[in-house]
Amino acid sequence: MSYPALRSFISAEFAIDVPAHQLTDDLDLIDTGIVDSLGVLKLIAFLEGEYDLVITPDELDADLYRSISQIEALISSKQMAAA
Amino acid sequence: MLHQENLTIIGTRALYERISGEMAKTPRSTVFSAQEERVSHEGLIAMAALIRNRLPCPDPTAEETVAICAEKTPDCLAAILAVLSTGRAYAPLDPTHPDARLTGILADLRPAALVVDETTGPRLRDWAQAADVPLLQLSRAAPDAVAPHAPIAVSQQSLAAVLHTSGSTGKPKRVEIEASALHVFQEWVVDELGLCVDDCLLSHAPFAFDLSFLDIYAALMSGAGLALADAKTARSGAKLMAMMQRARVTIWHSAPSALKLIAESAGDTILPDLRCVLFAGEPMPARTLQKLFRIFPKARFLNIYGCTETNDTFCYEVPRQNTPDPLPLGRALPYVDYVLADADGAEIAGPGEGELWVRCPTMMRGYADPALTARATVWHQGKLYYRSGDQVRRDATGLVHFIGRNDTIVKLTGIRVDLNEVDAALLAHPGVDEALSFVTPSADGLALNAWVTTQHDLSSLDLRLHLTQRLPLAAIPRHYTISRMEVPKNSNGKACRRQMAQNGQSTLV
Repeated sequence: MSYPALRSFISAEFAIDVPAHQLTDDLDLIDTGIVDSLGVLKLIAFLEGEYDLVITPDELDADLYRSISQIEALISSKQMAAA
Repeated sequence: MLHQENLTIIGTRALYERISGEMAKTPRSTVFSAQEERVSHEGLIAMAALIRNRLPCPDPTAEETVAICAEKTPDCLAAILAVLSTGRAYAPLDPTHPDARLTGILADLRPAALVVDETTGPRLRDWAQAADVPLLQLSRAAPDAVAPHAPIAVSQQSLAAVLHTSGSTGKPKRVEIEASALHVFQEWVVDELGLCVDDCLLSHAPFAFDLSFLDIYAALMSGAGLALADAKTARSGAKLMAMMQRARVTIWHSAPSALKLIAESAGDTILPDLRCVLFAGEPMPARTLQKLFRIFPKARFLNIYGCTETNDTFCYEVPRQNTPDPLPLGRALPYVDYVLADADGAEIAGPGEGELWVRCPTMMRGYADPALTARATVWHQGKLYYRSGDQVRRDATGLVHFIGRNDTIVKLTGIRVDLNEVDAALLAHPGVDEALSFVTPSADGLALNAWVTTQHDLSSLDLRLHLTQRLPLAAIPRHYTISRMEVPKNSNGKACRRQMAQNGQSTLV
Protein backbone atom coordinates (compact mmCIF):
# COMPACT_ATOMS: atom_id res chain seq x y z
CA MET A 1 0.00 0.00 0.00
CA SER A 2 1.05 3.57 -0.59
CA TYR A 3 0.69 6.41 1.88
CA PRO A 4 0.99 9.73 0.03
CA ALA A 5 0.63 11.75 3.26
CA LEU A 6 3.75 10.07 4.63
CA ARG A 7 5.84 11.14 1.65
CA SER A 8 4.48 14.68 1.84
CA PHE A 9 5.25 14.84 5.56
CA ILE A 10 8.84 13.67 5.13
CA SER A 11 9.33 16.03 2.24
CA ALA A 12 7.83 19.04 4.04
CA GLU A 13 9.40 18.35 7.41
CA PHE A 14 12.86 17.11 6.50
CA ALA A 15 13.69 17.66 2.81
CA ILE A 16 11.64 20.52 1.42
CA ASP A 17 13.84 21.17 -1.65
CA VAL A 18 14.29 17.55 -2.68
CA PRO A 19 12.31 16.79 -5.87
CA ALA A 20 9.73 14.03 -5.35
CA HIS A 21 11.46 11.66 -7.78
CA GLN A 22 14.65 11.78 -5.72
CA LEU A 23 12.88 10.83 -2.52
CA THR A 24 12.85 7.16 -3.50
CA ASP A 25 11.23 4.39 -1.50
CA ASP A 26 14.55 2.85 -0.51
CA LEU A 27 16.56 6.01 0.21
CA ASP A 28 18.27 5.65 3.61
CA LEU A 29 16.80 8.55 5.57
CA ILE A 30 19.04 7.94 8.61
CA ASP A 31 22.45 7.61 6.92
CA THR A 32 21.85 10.75 4.87
CA GLY A 33 20.99 12.70 8.02
CA ILE A 34 17.54 13.61 6.64
CA VAL A 35 15.94 12.10 9.75
CA ASP A 36 17.98 12.12 12.97
CA SER A 37 17.19 10.50 16.33
CA LEU A 38 14.93 13.34 17.35
CA GLY A 39 13.48 13.47 13.84
CA VAL A 40 12.36 9.88 14.38
CA LEU A 41 10.31 11.04 17.36
CA LYS A 42 8.63 13.71 15.18
CA LEU A 43 7.95 11.10 12.54
CA ILE A 44 6.40 8.76 15.10
CA ALA A 45 4.16 11.53 16.43
CA PHE A 46 3.02 12.08 12.84
CA LEU A 47 2.36 8.36 12.22
CA GLU A 48 0.35 8.05 15.43
CA GLY A 49 -1.76 11.08 14.59
CA GLU A 50 -2.21 10.52 10.87
CA TYR A 51 -2.76 6.76 10.81
CA ASP A 52 -4.17 6.26 14.29
CA LEU A 53 -1.42 3.85 15.29
CA VAL A 54 0.10 3.07 18.64
CA ILE A 55 3.90 2.85 18.53
CA THR A 56 5.17 0.86 21.50
CA PRO A 57 8.29 1.92 23.44
CA ASP A 58 10.39 -0.87 21.89
CA GLU A 59 9.48 0.47 18.45
CA LEU A 60 11.13 3.82 19.23
CA ASP A 61 14.12 2.67 17.23
CA ALA A 62 15.60 4.63 14.35
CA ASP A 63 16.41 1.39 12.54
CA LEU A 64 12.70 0.73 12.00
CA TYR A 65 12.29 4.01 10.10
CA ARG A 66 15.21 3.93 7.69
CA SER A 67 13.30 4.21 4.43
CA ILE A 68 9.87 5.14 3.15
CA SER A 69 9.23 1.54 2.11
CA GLN A 70 10.14 0.31 5.58
CA ILE A 71 7.84 2.85 7.26
CA GLU A 72 5.02 1.96 4.86
CA ALA A 73 5.42 -1.71 5.71
CA LEU A 74 5.23 -0.84 9.40
CA ILE A 75 2.01 1.17 8.90
CA SER A 76 0.44 -1.69 6.90
CA SER A 77 1.29 -4.33 9.45
CA LYS A 78 -0.04 -2.18 12.29
CA GLN A 79 -3.29 -1.41 10.47
CA MET A 80 -3.67 -5.08 9.58
CA ALA A 81 -3.20 -6.08 13.21
CA ALA A 82 -5.77 -3.52 14.35
CA ALA A 83 -8.38 -4.53 11.74
CA MET B 1 56.32 16.41 23.41
CA LEU B 2 54.01 17.71 26.09
CA HIS B 3 55.50 15.75 28.98
CA GLN B 4 54.64 16.73 32.52
CA GLU B 5 57.43 16.88 35.04
CA ASN B 6 55.54 15.74 38.16
CA LEU B 7 54.18 12.50 36.81
CA THR B 8 55.08 8.87 37.12
CA ILE B 9 55.64 7.81 33.55
CA ILE B 10 54.45 4.29 32.89
CA GLY B 11 54.77 2.42 29.64
CA THR B 12 51.90 0.87 27.74
CA ARG B 13 52.79 -2.67 28.79
CA ALA B 14 52.90 -1.54 32.46
CA LEU B 15 49.46 0.03 32.04
CA TYR B 16 48.17 -3.28 30.73
CA GLU B 17 49.72 -5.13 33.67
CA ARG B 18 47.97 -2.82 36.12
CA ILE B 19 44.63 -3.23 34.34
CA SER B 20 44.87 -7.01 34.07
CA GLY B 21 46.16 -7.20 37.67
CA GLU B 22 43.07 -5.36 38.94
CA MET B 23 40.80 -7.43 36.70
CA ALA B 24 42.30 -10.62 38.15
CA LYS B 25 41.10 -9.47 41.60
CA THR B 26 37.53 -9.17 40.29
CA PRO B 27 37.25 -12.20 37.97
CA ARG B 28 33.44 -12.32 38.19
CA SER B 29 32.81 -8.69 37.23
CA THR B 30 30.83 -8.52 34.04
CA VAL B 31 30.94 -6.82 30.67
CA PHE B 32 27.46 -6.72 29.06
CA SER B 33 27.05 -6.52 25.31
CA ALA B 34 24.10 -5.02 23.46
CA GLN B 35 23.34 -8.57 22.25
CA GLU B 36 22.61 -9.66 25.83
CA GLU B 37 25.92 -11.47 26.10
CA ARG B 38 27.83 -11.43 29.38
CA VAL B 39 31.58 -11.83 29.61
CA SER B 40 33.44 -11.98 32.94
CA HIS B 41 36.73 -10.19 33.55
CA GLU B 42 38.34 -13.62 33.59
CA GLY B 43 36.78 -14.44 30.21
CA LEU B 44 37.78 -11.07 28.77
CA ILE B 45 41.44 -11.60 29.70
CA ALA B 46 41.32 -15.06 28.09
CA MET B 47 39.78 -13.59 24.92
CA ALA B 48 42.49 -10.92 24.86
CA ALA B 49 45.20 -13.59 25.10
CA LEU B 50 43.76 -15.42 22.09
CA ILE B 51 43.68 -12.23 20.04
CA ARG B 52 47.21 -11.29 21.14
CA ASN B 53 48.47 -14.61 19.78
CA ARG B 54 47.08 -13.71 16.37
CA LEU B 55 48.70 -10.25 16.27
CA PRO B 56 52.05 -9.88 14.55
CA CYS B 57 55.05 -9.78 16.93
CA PRO B 58 55.91 -6.22 17.94
CA ASP B 59 59.13 -4.65 16.81
CA PRO B 60 60.67 -3.69 20.20
CA THR B 61 62.72 -0.92 18.60
CA ALA B 62 59.78 0.84 16.94
CA GLU B 63 56.73 2.76 18.14
CA GLU B 64 53.77 0.88 16.72
CA THR B 65 50.02 1.25 16.53
CA VAL B 66 47.34 -1.33 15.84
CA ALA B 67 44.13 0.03 14.32
CA ILE B 68 40.80 -1.43 15.47
CA CYS B 69 37.67 -0.85 13.41
CA ALA B 70 34.89 -3.00 14.82
CA GLU B 71 31.45 -2.81 16.39
CA LYS B 72 31.48 -2.07 20.12
CA THR B 73 31.37 -5.58 21.58
CA PRO B 74 33.25 -7.46 24.34
CA ASP B 75 35.43 -8.91 21.53
CA CYS B 76 36.41 -5.42 20.46
CA LEU B 77 37.22 -4.54 24.07
CA ALA B 78 39.33 -7.72 24.29
CA ALA B 79 41.15 -6.59 21.14
CA ILE B 80 42.01 -3.27 22.82
CA LEU B 81 43.46 -5.17 25.81
CA ALA B 82 45.31 -7.51 23.45
CA VAL B 83 46.99 -4.58 21.71
CA LEU B 84 47.94 -2.94 25.03
CA SER B 85 49.32 -6.28 26.27
CA THR B 86 51.88 -6.23 23.46
CA GLY B 87 52.90 -2.77 24.64
CA ARG B 88 51.55 -1.08 21.52
CA ALA B 89 49.06 1.74 21.05
CA TYR B 90 45.56 1.08 19.76
CA ALA B 91 43.86 3.38 17.27
CA PRO B 92 40.08 2.90 17.50
CA LEU B 93 38.22 3.84 14.30
CA ASP B 94 34.47 4.39 14.16
CA PRO B 95 32.86 1.75 11.89
CA THR B 96 29.95 4.13 11.15
CA HIS B 97 32.29 6.50 9.31
CA PRO B 98 32.48 6.34 5.50
CA ASP B 99 35.03 3.97 3.93
CA ALA B 100 37.00 6.76 2.28
CA ARG B 101 37.48 8.51 5.61
CA LEU B 102 38.64 5.30 7.31
CA THR B 103 41.13 4.38 4.58
CA GLY B 104 42.43 7.97 4.55
CA ILE B 105 43.16 7.73 8.28
CA LEU B 106 44.70 4.26 7.90
CA ALA B 107 46.97 5.34 5.04
CA ASP B 108 48.29 8.16 7.20
CA LEU B 109 48.61 6.04 10.35
CA ARG B 110 50.29 3.01 8.77
CA PRO B 111 49.33 0.60 11.56
CA ALA B 112 51.28 -2.60 12.34
CA ALA B 113 48.00 -4.49 11.98
CA LEU B 114 44.31 -3.83 11.45
CA VAL B 115 41.66 -5.54 13.58
CA VAL B 116 38.20 -5.79 11.97
CA ASP B 117 34.95 -7.69 12.46
CA GLU B 118 32.55 -9.42 10.06
CA THR B 119 31.07 -6.11 8.92
CA THR B 120 34.17 -3.93 8.62
CA GLY B 121 36.39 -6.74 7.26
CA PRO B 122 34.92 -6.75 3.74
CA ARG B 123 34.99 -2.94 3.67
CA LEU B 124 38.68 -2.64 4.57
CA ARG B 125 40.16 -5.85 3.16
CA ASP B 126 41.20 -4.33 -0.17
CA TRP B 127 42.95 -1.45 1.54
CA ALA B 128 44.84 -3.77 3.91
CA GLN B 129 45.92 -5.99 1.03
CA ALA B 130 47.15 -3.07 -1.07
CA ALA B 131 48.99 -1.54 1.89
CA ASP B 132 50.37 -4.91 3.01
CA VAL B 133 48.97 -4.51 6.54
CA PRO B 134 48.04 -7.75 8.36
CA LEU B 135 44.27 -8.00 8.75
CA LEU B 136 42.87 -9.77 11.80
CA GLN B 137 39.16 -10.51 11.83
CA LEU B 138 37.45 -10.91 15.22
CA SER B 139 35.24 -13.94 15.24
CA ARG B 140 33.30 -15.71 17.95
CA ALA B 141 33.03 -18.85 15.86
CA ALA B 142 36.67 -19.75 15.46
CA PRO B 143 39.00 -19.11 18.38
CA ASP B 144 41.63 -20.77 16.20
CA ALA B 145 44.33 -22.36 18.29
CA VAL B 146 47.35 -20.34 17.29
CA ALA B 147 50.49 -21.21 19.19
CA PRO B 148 51.60 -18.29 21.33
CA HIS B 149 54.67 -16.35 20.28
CA ALA B 150 57.49 -17.72 22.37
CA PRO B 151 58.60 -15.69 24.15
CA ILE B 152 56.19 -12.82 23.50
CA ALA B 153 58.12 -9.75 22.48
CA VAL B 154 56.86 -6.59 24.14
CA SER B 155 57.18 -3.07 22.88
CA GLN B 156 58.77 -0.58 25.33
CA GLN B 157 56.75 2.37 24.07
CA SER B 158 54.59 4.65 26.20
CA LEU B 159 52.17 5.66 23.43
CA ALA B 160 48.93 3.84 24.32
CA ALA B 161 46.10 5.29 22.24
CA VAL B 162 45.68 7.27 19.05
CA LEU B 163 42.42 9.13 18.39
CA HIS B 164 41.28 11.17 15.41
CA THR B 165 39.29 14.40 15.67
CA SER B 166 37.83 16.75 13.09
CA GLY B 167 40.56 18.82 11.40
CA SER B 168 40.19 22.14 9.60
CA THR B 169 41.83 21.08 6.32
CA GLY B 170 39.39 18.24 5.81
CA LYS B 171 41.96 15.79 7.16
CA PRO B 172 41.28 14.41 10.66
CA LYS B 173 43.86 15.38 13.31
CA ARG B 174 45.72 12.47 14.90
CA VAL B 175 45.91 12.84 18.71
CA GLU B 176 48.57 10.75 20.51
CA ILE B 177 47.90 9.74 24.11
CA GLU B 178 50.33 8.08 26.49
CA ALA B 179 49.72 5.30 28.98
CA SER B 180 50.28 7.63 31.98
CA ALA B 181 47.52 9.95 30.79
CA LEU B 182 45.02 7.09 30.79
CA HIS B 183 46.24 5.88 34.17
CA VAL B 184 46.01 9.23 35.95
CA PHE B 185 42.58 9.81 34.46
CA GLN B 186 41.03 6.53 35.57
CA GLU B 187 42.45 7.06 39.10
CA TRP B 188 40.53 10.32 39.34
CA VAL B 189 37.32 8.78 38.02
CA VAL B 190 37.41 5.76 40.36
CA ASP B 191 38.13 8.05 43.29
CA GLU B 192 35.56 10.76 42.46
CA LEU B 193 32.76 8.27 41.84
CA GLY B 194 33.82 5.76 44.48
CA LEU B 195 33.47 3.04 41.83
CA CYS B 196 33.35 -0.53 43.14
CA VAL B 197 32.22 -4.04 42.22
CA ASP B 198 28.59 -3.17 43.03
CA ASP B 199 28.50 -0.59 40.25
CA CYS B 200 27.76 -0.97 36.57
CA LEU B 201 28.73 1.76 34.15
CA LEU B 202 26.86 2.34 30.90
CA SER B 203 29.30 3.16 28.12
CA HIS B 204 27.48 5.11 25.41
CA ALA B 205 30.24 6.66 23.26
CA PRO B 206 31.98 4.65 20.52
CA PHE B 207 35.48 3.42 21.42
CA ALA B 208 36.81 5.93 18.85
CA PHE B 209 35.86 8.84 21.18
CA ASP B 210 37.78 10.02 24.22
CA LEU B 211 34.65 9.60 26.36
CA SER B 212 35.26 5.85 26.15
CA PHE B 213 38.49 6.16 28.20
CA LEU B 214 36.43 6.82 31.30
CA ASP B 215 34.16 3.86 30.63
CA ILE B 216 36.81 1.29 29.78
CA TYR B 217 39.59 2.04 32.23
CA ALA B 218 37.60 3.15 35.26
CA ALA B 219 35.24 0.17 35.03
CA LEU B 220 37.89 -2.47 34.40
CA MET B 221 40.20 -1.18 37.14
CA SER B 222 37.52 -0.83 39.81
CA GLY B 223 35.78 -4.13 39.13
CA ALA B 224 32.57 -2.32 38.18
CA GLY B 225 30.35 -3.88 35.53
CA LEU B 226 30.44 -2.33 32.07
CA ALA B 227 27.47 -2.20 29.70
CA LEU B 228 28.58 -1.57 26.12
CA ALA B 229 25.99 0.25 24.00
CA ASP B 230 26.76 -0.52 20.35
CA ALA B 231 25.95 1.92 17.54
CA LYS B 232 22.37 0.67 17.18
CA THR B 233 21.64 0.77 20.91
CA ALA B 234 23.31 4.17 21.30
CA ARG B 235 20.74 5.91 19.08
CA SER B 236 17.64 4.24 20.53
CA GLY B 237 16.16 5.52 23.78
CA ALA B 238 14.15 2.31 24.21
CA LYS B 239 17.17 0.05 23.72
CA LEU B 240 19.22 2.13 26.16
CA MET B 241 16.46 1.94 28.78
CA ALA B 242 16.26 -1.83 28.32
CA MET B 243 20.02 -2.16 28.63
CA MET B 244 20.09 -0.08 31.83
CA GLN B 245 17.49 -2.33 33.41
CA ARG B 246 19.08 -5.56 32.20
CA ALA B 247 22.59 -4.69 33.41
CA ARG B 248 21.41 -2.86 36.56
CA VAL B 249 23.36 0.20 35.57
CA THR B 250 24.37 2.57 38.39
CA ILE B 251 26.53 5.06 36.46
CA TRP B 252 25.60 6.69 33.16
CA HIS B 253 28.14 8.48 30.94
CA SER B 254 27.37 10.10 27.58
CA ALA B 255 26.87 13.32 25.68
CA PRO B 256 23.64 15.21 26.55
CA SER B 257 22.07 14.19 23.22
CA ALA B 258 21.86 10.56 24.36
CA LEU B 259 20.21 11.68 27.60
CA LYS B 260 17.66 13.57 25.49
CA LEU B 261 16.71 10.21 23.95
CA ILE B 262 16.23 8.81 27.45
CA ALA B 263 14.16 11.81 28.52
CA GLU B 264 11.93 11.36 25.46
CA SER B 265 11.40 7.63 25.72
CA ALA B 266 11.36 6.89 29.46
CA GLY B 267 7.65 7.63 29.85
CA ASP B 268 6.76 7.05 33.51
CA THR B 269 9.71 4.74 34.13
CA ILE B 270 11.85 5.62 37.12
CA LEU B 271 15.32 4.17 37.58
CA PRO B 272 16.29 4.50 41.25
CA ASP B 273 19.44 2.34 40.85
CA LEU B 274 21.22 5.10 38.94
CA ARG B 275 23.51 6.84 41.41
CA CYS B 276 25.45 9.07 39.06
CA VAL B 277 24.83 10.65 35.66
CA LEU B 278 27.89 12.09 33.92
CA PHE B 279 27.51 14.11 30.75
CA ALA B 280 30.06 15.87 28.60
CA GLY B 281 30.58 17.36 25.18
CA GLU B 282 27.91 20.04 24.74
CA PRO B 283 25.45 22.16 26.71
CA MET B 284 22.63 20.32 28.48
CA PRO B 285 19.16 21.80 27.84
CA ALA B 286 17.41 22.73 31.11
CA ARG B 287 14.19 21.08 29.97
CA THR B 288 15.92 17.73 29.47
CA LEU B 289 17.65 18.02 32.81
CA GLN B 290 14.35 18.48 34.66
CA LYS B 291 12.97 15.31 33.06
CA LEU B 292 16.14 13.42 33.96
CA PHE B 293 15.89 14.48 37.62
CA ARG B 294 12.54 12.68 37.71
CA ILE B 295 13.72 9.55 35.83
CA PHE B 296 16.83 9.22 38.02
CA PRO B 297 15.55 10.35 41.45
CA LYS B 298 18.61 9.26 43.42
CA ALA B 299 21.43 10.22 41.05
CA ARG B 300 24.13 12.87 41.34
CA PHE B 301 24.48 14.80 38.10
CA LEU B 302 27.95 15.85 36.95
CA ASN B 303 28.55 18.18 34.03
CA ILE B 304 32.02 17.35 32.70
CA TYR B 305 34.14 19.53 30.44
CA GLY B 306 37.14 18.39 28.44
CA CYS B 307 38.38 17.63 24.97
CA THR B 308 40.24 14.88 23.14
CA GLU B 309 43.56 16.68 23.60
CA THR B 310 43.38 17.00 27.40
CA ASN B 311 40.66 14.58 28.45
CA ASP B 312 38.37 15.88 31.21
CA THR B 313 39.51 19.03 32.99
CA PHE B 314 36.49 20.67 34.67
CA CYS B 315 33.52 19.31 36.55
CA TYR B 316 30.32 20.78 37.96
CA GLU B 317 28.04 19.02 40.39
CA VAL B 318 24.54 20.02 39.27
CA PRO B 319 22.18 21.01 42.10
CA ARG B 320 18.60 19.74 41.82
CA GLN B 321 17.25 22.97 43.33
CA ASN B 322 17.89 26.37 41.73
CA THR B 323 19.67 24.68 38.84
CA PRO B 324 21.58 27.27 36.81
CA ASP B 325 20.91 27.48 33.06
CA PRO B 326 23.21 27.22 31.19
CA LEU B 327 25.24 25.00 33.49
CA PRO B 328 28.72 26.23 34.44
CA LEU B 329 31.79 24.19 33.45
CA GLY B 330 32.51 24.21 37.16
CA ARG B 331 35.91 23.91 38.79
CA ALA B 332 39.19 22.45 37.62
CA LEU B 333 39.78 18.78 38.45
CA PRO B 334 42.47 18.12 41.09
CA TYR B 335 45.13 17.26 38.51
CA VAL B 336 44.48 20.36 36.38
CA ASP B 337 46.36 23.65 36.38
CA TYR B 338 44.68 26.33 34.29
CA VAL B 339 45.14 29.92 33.19
CA LEU B 340 42.59 32.46 32.04
CA ALA B 341 44.36 34.48 29.33
CA ASP B 342 43.30 37.82 27.90
CA ALA B 343 43.52 38.71 24.19
CA ASP B 344 47.24 39.60 24.61
CA GLY B 345 48.05 36.31 26.32
CA ALA B 346 48.40 37.84 29.78
CA GLU B 347 47.04 35.92 32.76
CA ILE B 348 43.84 37.24 34.32
CA ALA B 349 43.73 37.03 38.10
CA GLY B 350 40.37 36.72 39.85
CA PRO B 351 37.07 37.08 38.03
CA GLY B 352 37.14 37.85 34.30
CA GLU B 353 36.74 36.63 30.75
CA GLY B 354 39.38 35.09 28.55
CA GLU B 355 40.65 32.03 26.72
CA LEU B 356 41.06 28.88 28.80
CA TRP B 357 44.55 27.34 28.80
CA VAL B 358 44.97 24.02 30.59
CA ARG B 359 47.85 21.88 31.69
CA CYS B 360 47.38 18.40 33.09
CA PRO B 361 48.92 14.92 33.18
CA THR B 362 46.02 13.64 31.09
CA MET B 363 47.07 15.89 28.21
CA MET B 364 47.99 14.35 24.87
CA ARG B 365 51.65 13.81 23.99
CA GLY B 366 50.88 15.88 20.93
CA TYR B 367 49.36 15.71 17.49
CA ALA B 368 51.16 13.56 14.95
CA ASP B 369 51.94 16.82 13.16
CA PRO B 370 54.36 18.88 15.34
CA ALA B 371 53.34 22.10 13.58
CA LEU B 372 49.76 21.58 14.74
CA THR B 373 50.97 20.84 18.29
CA ALA B 374 52.98 24.05 18.30
CA ARG B 375 49.93 26.07 17.25
CA ALA B 376 47.69 24.45 19.85
CA THR B 377 50.02 25.01 22.80
CA VAL B 378 51.54 27.99 24.56
CA TRP B 379 54.39 28.50 27.06
CA HIS B 380 53.41 30.45 30.14
CA GLN B 381 55.76 31.03 33.10
CA GLY B 382 58.00 28.22 31.94
CA LYS B 383 55.17 25.70 31.59
CA LEU B 384 53.43 24.40 28.52
CA TYR B 385 49.65 24.78 28.30
CA TYR B 386 47.07 23.54 25.82
CA ARG B 387 45.04 26.38 24.32
CA SER B 388 41.46 25.17 24.51
CA GLY B 389 40.15 27.73 22.03
CA ASP B 390 37.21 28.22 24.39
CA GLN B 391 36.28 31.63 25.79
CA VAL B 392 35.26 31.30 29.42
CA ARG B 393 34.31 33.52 32.34
CA ARG B 394 35.41 33.01 35.93
CA ASP B 395 32.92 34.41 38.42
CA ALA B 396 33.57 35.81 41.89
CA THR B 397 33.12 32.39 43.50
CA GLY B 398 35.75 30.83 41.19
CA LEU B 399 33.25 28.91 39.06
CA VAL B 400 34.12 28.83 35.36
CA HIS B 401 31.40 29.39 32.74
CA PHE B 402 31.51 28.67 28.99
CA ILE B 403 31.03 31.63 26.65
CA GLY B 404 31.90 30.39 23.15
CA ARG B 405 34.51 29.10 20.74
CA ASN B 406 37.31 31.22 19.30
CA ASP B 407 37.41 29.35 16.05
CA THR B 408 35.31 27.27 13.71
CA ILE B 409 34.86 24.24 15.93
CA VAL B 410 31.37 23.37 17.16
CA LYS B 411 30.02 20.47 19.16
CA LEU B 412 27.07 18.71 17.56
CA THR B 413 25.40 15.86 19.46
CA GLY B 414 28.56 15.81 21.56
CA ILE B 415 30.82 15.32 18.56
CA ARG B 416 33.39 17.92 17.61
CA VAL B 417 32.92 19.25 14.09
CA ASP B 418 35.24 21.71 12.40
CA LEU B 419 33.14 23.86 10.08
CA ASN B 420 36.12 24.26 7.72
CA GLU B 421 36.08 20.50 7.23
CA VAL B 422 32.38 20.61 6.30
CA ASP B 423 33.09 23.41 3.80
CA ALA B 424 35.98 21.43 2.29
CA ALA B 425 33.80 18.34 1.89
CA LEU B 426 31.03 20.37 0.19
CA LEU B 427 33.56 21.98 -2.15
CA ALA B 428 34.77 18.53 -3.18
CA HIS B 429 31.46 18.12 -5.03
CA PRO B 430 32.20 18.97 -8.69
CA GLY B 431 29.05 21.11 -9.01
CA VAL B 432 29.73 23.28 -5.96
CA ASP B 433 31.39 26.67 -6.51
CA GLU B 434 31.27 28.03 -2.96
CA ALA B 435 30.22 26.59 0.36
CA LEU B 436 29.85 27.93 3.88
CA SER B 437 28.57 25.95 6.84
CA PHE B 438 27.28 27.59 10.00
CA VAL B 439 25.27 26.77 13.08
CA THR B 440 22.00 28.22 14.29
CA PRO B 441 20.18 27.61 17.56
CA SER B 442 17.45 24.99 17.38
CA ALA B 443 14.98 23.39 19.75
CA ASP B 444 17.48 20.58 20.38
CA GLY B 445 20.60 22.72 20.78
CA LEU B 446 22.52 23.64 17.65
CA ALA B 447 21.64 22.86 14.04
CA LEU B 448 24.25 22.69 11.29
CA ASN B 449 23.39 24.54 8.07
CA ALA B 450 25.10 25.10 4.75
CA TRP B 451 24.98 27.74 2.06
CA VAL B 452 26.01 26.29 -1.30
CA THR B 453 26.60 28.29 -4.46
CA THR B 454 26.13 26.30 -7.66
CA GLN B 455 25.19 26.88 -11.27
CA HIS B 456 23.75 23.36 -11.50
CA ASP B 457 20.43 21.84 -10.48
CA LEU B 458 21.60 20.35 -7.21
CA SER B 459 19.21 19.30 -4.47
CA SER B 460 20.02 18.95 -0.79
CA LEU B 461 19.82 15.20 -1.29
CA ASP B 462 22.60 15.28 -3.92
CA LEU B 463 24.75 17.10 -1.38
CA ARG B 464 23.82 14.76 1.47
CA LEU B 465 24.64 11.68 -0.62
CA HIS B 466 27.97 13.27 -1.53
CA LEU B 467 28.77 14.15 2.10
CA THR B 468 27.86 10.71 3.47
CA GLN B 469 30.89 9.39 1.53
CA ARG B 470 33.18 11.80 3.37
CA LEU B 471 31.93 12.91 6.76
CA PRO B 472 30.54 11.39 9.95
CA LEU B 473 26.78 11.75 10.35
CA ALA B 474 27.05 14.55 12.91
CA ALA B 475 28.95 16.71 10.38
CA ILE B 476 26.26 16.50 7.70
CA PRO B 477 24.26 19.77 7.59
CA ARG B 478 20.55 19.44 8.40
CA HIS B 479 19.46 22.44 6.32
CA TYR B 480 20.74 23.73 2.97
CA THR B 481 20.46 27.00 1.09
CA ILE B 482 21.21 26.20 -2.54
CA SER B 483 21.68 29.36 -4.55
CA ARG B 484 23.21 30.73 -7.73
CA MET B 485 24.31 33.70 -5.65
CA GLU B 486 27.68 33.97 -3.96
CA VAL B 487 28.15 33.22 -0.29
CA PRO B 488 27.48 36.49 1.59
CA LYS B 489 30.78 38.25 2.37
CA ASN B 490 31.75 40.91 4.86
CA SER B 491 33.47 44.16 3.85
CA ASN B 492 36.86 42.41 3.60
CA GLY B 493 35.47 39.93 1.11
CA LYS B 494 35.56 37.17 3.71
CA ALA B 495 32.69 34.76 4.03
CA CYS B 496 31.02 35.62 7.29
CA ARG B 497 29.79 32.69 9.31
CA ARG B 498 28.58 34.78 12.20
CA GLN B 499 26.45 36.96 9.96
CA MET B 500 25.03 33.87 8.27
CA ALA B 501 24.17 32.42 11.63
CA GLN B 502 22.26 35.58 12.50
CA ASN B 503 20.53 36.24 9.18
CA GLY B 504 20.63 32.87 7.52
CA GLN B 505 17.80 31.10 9.19
CA SER B 506 14.97 32.79 7.35
CA THR B 507 16.35 31.81 3.94
CA LEU B 508 17.02 28.20 4.81
CA VAL B 509 15.22 25.26 3.34
